[in-house]
Amino acid sequence: MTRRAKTIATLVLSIAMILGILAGCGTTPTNTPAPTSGATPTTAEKSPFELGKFDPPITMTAVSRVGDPVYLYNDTLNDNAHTRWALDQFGIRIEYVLEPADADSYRTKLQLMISSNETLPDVVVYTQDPVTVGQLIESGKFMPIMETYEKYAGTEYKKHAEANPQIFYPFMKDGVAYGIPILEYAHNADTLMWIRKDWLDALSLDIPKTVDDLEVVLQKFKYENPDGFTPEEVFPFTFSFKNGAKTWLSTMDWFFGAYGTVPMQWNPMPDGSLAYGSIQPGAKDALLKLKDWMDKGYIPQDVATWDEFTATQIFVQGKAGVIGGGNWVMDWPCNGVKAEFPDAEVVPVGLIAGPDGKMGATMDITAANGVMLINKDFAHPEAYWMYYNYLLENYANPPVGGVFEYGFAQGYDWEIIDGVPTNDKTKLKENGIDYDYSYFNFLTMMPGNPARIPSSYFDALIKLADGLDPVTPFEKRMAVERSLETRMAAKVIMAEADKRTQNAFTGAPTVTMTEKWSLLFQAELETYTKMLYGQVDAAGFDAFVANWLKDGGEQVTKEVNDWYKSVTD
Amino acid sequence: MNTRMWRNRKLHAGARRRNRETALSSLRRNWVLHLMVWPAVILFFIFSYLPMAGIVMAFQNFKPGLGFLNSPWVGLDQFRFLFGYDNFLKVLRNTLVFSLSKYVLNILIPFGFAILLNEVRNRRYKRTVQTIVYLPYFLSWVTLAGILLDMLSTQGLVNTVMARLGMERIMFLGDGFWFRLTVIFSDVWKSFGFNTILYLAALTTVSPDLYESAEIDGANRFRQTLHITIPSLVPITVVVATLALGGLLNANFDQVFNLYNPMVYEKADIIDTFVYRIGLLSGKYSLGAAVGLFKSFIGLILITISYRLAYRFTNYRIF
Repeated sequence: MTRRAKTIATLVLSIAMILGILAGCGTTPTNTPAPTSGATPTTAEKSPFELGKFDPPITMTAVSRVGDPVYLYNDTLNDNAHTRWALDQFGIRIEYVLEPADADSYRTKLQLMISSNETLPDVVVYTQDPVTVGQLIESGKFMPIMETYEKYAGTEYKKHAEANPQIFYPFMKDGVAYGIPILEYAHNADTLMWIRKDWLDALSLDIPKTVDDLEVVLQKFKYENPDGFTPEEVFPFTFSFKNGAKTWLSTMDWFFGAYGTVPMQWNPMPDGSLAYGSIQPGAKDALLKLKDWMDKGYIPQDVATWDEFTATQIFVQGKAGVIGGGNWVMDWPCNGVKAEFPDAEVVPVGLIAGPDGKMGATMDITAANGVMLINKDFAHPEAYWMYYNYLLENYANPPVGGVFEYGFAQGYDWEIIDGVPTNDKTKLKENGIDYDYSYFNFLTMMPGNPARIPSSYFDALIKLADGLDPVTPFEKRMAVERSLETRMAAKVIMAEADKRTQNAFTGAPTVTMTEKWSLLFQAELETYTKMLYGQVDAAGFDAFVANWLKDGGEQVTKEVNDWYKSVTD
Repeated sequence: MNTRMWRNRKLHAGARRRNRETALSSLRRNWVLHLMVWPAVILFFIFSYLPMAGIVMAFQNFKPGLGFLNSPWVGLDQFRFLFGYDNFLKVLRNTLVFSLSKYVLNILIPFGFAILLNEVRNRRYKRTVQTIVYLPYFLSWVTLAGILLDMLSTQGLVNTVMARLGMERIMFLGDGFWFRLTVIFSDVWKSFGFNTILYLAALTTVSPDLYESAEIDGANRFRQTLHITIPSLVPITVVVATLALGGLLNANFDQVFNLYNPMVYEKADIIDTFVYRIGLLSGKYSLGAAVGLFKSFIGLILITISYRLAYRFTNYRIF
């Protein structure tokens, strides 16, 4: 009897344990509170949107910024300067239900959430790969946003969106837009050549204007190095090919531009169609020139194995004198060269001309970085617009005397020190405020400046480059944050904006692209790097182009052009 | 002698008697043991058996938004794509070049090293060597790849020394042949110390009596090694070799991914890196599942074969 009782007890215990474990694995019950339906608009009263505030407050679940958060004072994830402000200003109680540790785990978490049917946050921001964005939109869990855009988008936003309707293209499904693009500074991704001016001066050389000029410069940099390096130590021209010829740093698109094509993007052709830049005849000539320079020792032999950042290191070590990059490379990472060579003077250079006098480089005026998706079950899509509009109008380029004149929150990114308001980080630090971007977990996940007016950045930089005094708080901030080189680069880029080409294809990947693009791109990477080392010759490049077209490239080109026609008509 | 035989008989009798007992009474007698084993069984079920249901992905066009239940079925399309790809044979060959070389060297070198180390009489020296050689095992490939990329670059330490000695600089990671050598040897270097432990452990179980009697019979150290040490290592070697065979299509993603570049795709691209680029980066999870299934299937066949061979030739059953 007692035996049996024991047995039963064992079984019960075991089952209890099984259930316990299973319960832990099941889908977590949705304990995120459903958005409390806020102010029920009574007749003739103004809507919360018109009032600019929800009363009583509503809750909006969201995603906090990716990375290790740092908070000041007693702030926490859901109670900090930013969330208190949102509650106070808009009656929106932002509740962060996701706090991703890094970009990869965030992606995985989102994918798991949509495949296991978990409740998604009311607003989901995503700034990474288009593949995941496509999956999110395809999941059917987010609302079409055009209606909210028409009704609620502010003037700043509409101004940019109307001039650049393509910002919505990547988030379209069956002709309907499902994401609100987050605005970015225009031209921030434009690239140009940077050169060691102090070396040029020491060798009494002019700024190179053509590829031939550049060749002479490289030759002198290597064999008559002003810093006294031996030719064996100097490889004057550094770049990265590991991820392609057009990339975010150590890029080469401006060099290919001299041969009439911008690689890795879709360029408009004289006949009005779009063509892929990497397979144009110009690219072959550019590659042959690079191969020649590689043979002559002007290019580090290891470029094929270097990623974008690694390629900058030889420049930082002072053993290279030419590199490609955006307006900001002298803010980071190439400014590192000044640590060891305080006299190093690095200047941005205008586009160089190729043998036929052609010039070109990539351009980004679309200026969107990331997307905000709104849960289709969220009752107050206007809440996000209220938030974003307000920041665009008041914080992005704050007026003198505005609430955000010196920064977002007093005691965090600005403080009154000795009776003077200041946002100078060193001064703040001396007074015990160690500024960090992550004090404020803005919904748009943009570090530093959550709402960016596309034109404002270059406008301010150019003004400063022209020697004008900074007037607006935004200009003052740029004057503190951005180096002289960055300001010059902005001016150089804008002066030649008409020679630059924007990637004309901004749609979601086409059918054949999804299927074949990774293989086509792999062939491109292989051909490009191997040509550098002479393992593939001119005929090999032609064979690559022929195969590229045959293996799906032709079909992709057709689909891209169909898409282009459908949006330009 | 007599006592042992008697005890054996008694044991066998006990076993026979227990066989006759019903499952329930066995449960009653050993309920504590059952209680102890159940959590492990359950965890195993949840984390190893339940996920096997994910195999269905290999036959679907899986979309995260639709899940297993609603994703469209595509039959063998994923496999067709995989085997139909021109370069698949090349990728498979690369995988086998890496994994077979690593497989052989990762058995032979630890085996030989264990025997050599076993001959060392100075305990402290032996310990020190053992620790030094097994330390690299704990480095992650991300870290190690960074170090290798730097050391093996054309201006790196290795090439600088070679240039000083009047040799040609070699682009170790940009040339298919050298890339393969780098991958194979860095893998062996990283893991041989750790693998040696297993053999050393097996050697501690060899009875000193055997060596003593061999010495009396006039065998020198070399003879002893040949006729005692090596034969006593054969069973563990067979186990290691058989188990490792199951992973023959795993050529170590971490390592290759962190070291390779477009220059050497042709000789370096392995199944896993290929699937990562072609499948995962573009959201084709089904392709990944199909490849995983394919690899497990080959692994199963290889394990079965080697298990049978091991039994036939060494009369040794692993499980």
